[in-house]
Amino acid sequence: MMSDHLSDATIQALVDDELPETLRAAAEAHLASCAQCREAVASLASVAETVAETAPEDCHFCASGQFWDRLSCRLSRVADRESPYAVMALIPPLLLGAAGLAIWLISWVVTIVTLLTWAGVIPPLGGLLADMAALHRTSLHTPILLRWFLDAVVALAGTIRSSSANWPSAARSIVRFGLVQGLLSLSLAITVALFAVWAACMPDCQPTGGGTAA
Amino acid sequence: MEEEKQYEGQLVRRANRGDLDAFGEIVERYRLRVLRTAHGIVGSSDEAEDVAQEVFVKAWQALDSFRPGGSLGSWLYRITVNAAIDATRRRRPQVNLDDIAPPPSEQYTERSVLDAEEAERVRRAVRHLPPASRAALVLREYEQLSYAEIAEVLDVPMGTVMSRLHYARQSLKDALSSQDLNHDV
Repeated sequence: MMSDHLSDATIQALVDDELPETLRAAAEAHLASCAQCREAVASLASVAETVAETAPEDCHFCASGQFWDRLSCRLSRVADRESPYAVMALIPPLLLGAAGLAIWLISWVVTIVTLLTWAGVIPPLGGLLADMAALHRTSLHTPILLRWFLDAVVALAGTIRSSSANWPSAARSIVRFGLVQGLLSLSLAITVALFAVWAACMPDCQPTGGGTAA
Repeated sequence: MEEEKQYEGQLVRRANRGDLDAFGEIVERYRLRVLRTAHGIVGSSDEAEDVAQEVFVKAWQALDSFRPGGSLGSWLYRITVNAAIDATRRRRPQVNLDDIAPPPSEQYTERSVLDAEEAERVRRAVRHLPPASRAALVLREYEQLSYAEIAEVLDVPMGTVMSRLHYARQSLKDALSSQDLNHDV
């Protein structure tokens, strides 16, 4: 724009009603006598008005309630993820699952040791424990409390040996196996049941609250 | 005006404490403004809805960062502009102008003297502006924000707002006066 005409910035500020009062009077006085600047102002105002008229109205978009329903669903998911207590809900089933897994592993160790003992591959563990305990319980270097404990182990091993001496080895193995596997199955069943209860208590994706927006 | 600001500040504080009703009121106050701004930048109603959803989720997550005494409107507009520009950048390689033309139902709801074809021509020209100029233009023409408010939303000096607006309007004037606009796009 030439210096004897209004600058682009002035024309724009005039169209947008952003020109300070002090400059506005001078600009309007210039416009009264300058057809070129009047045309520039009218042209810019026309563009601004044309764009403003294409602004979408409410009817272009989904209803307010529908918008809120979708949003509140997303917000509830965000809130659950952010809450430190959300992790707490996972702890009981995870602990039970870990306990179930531990029992399952122990049951296999016990089963394998029992079968190896029955097959004569390794000596009976009860006997081994009793022998070890007998070795140390009389030693003067063994602390008194440990000696009392070893006495109890020896007594217990003796009781087990005398009470089960008449059982066929295979039957004993089967009973132990069944007992351990039964415990394992029970713990797994409890874990699964708790998982199911936990899943049922999880908040589902339904709109909640926000009555003002609906 | 000041009372309005204080009330909105209270809404933000309540929402920040997890009050979903308070946040619902914020959403209801700004939903249309956010949708309109997003529509101006992304160019389609469906995408504007997605952007608006994203805006309010981000706002919900970032309520902590809202400066007490600040303008809730400017804060939400800023999130909207950023989200909408991100959305246009994400889908730019797959953009197809036939896809972003408004559905038939939209073509007959213009409130002005503009006919549907003219309105679509203008929107298409707006969509061809660089994102920064488009955002400034939409905030000015759709939302009627002042230069100072646009500068706050876009976090740029007022002179930059004016130059972006000037560039946008000049480009639009050239595009709309061109008879070959439809062939260009």
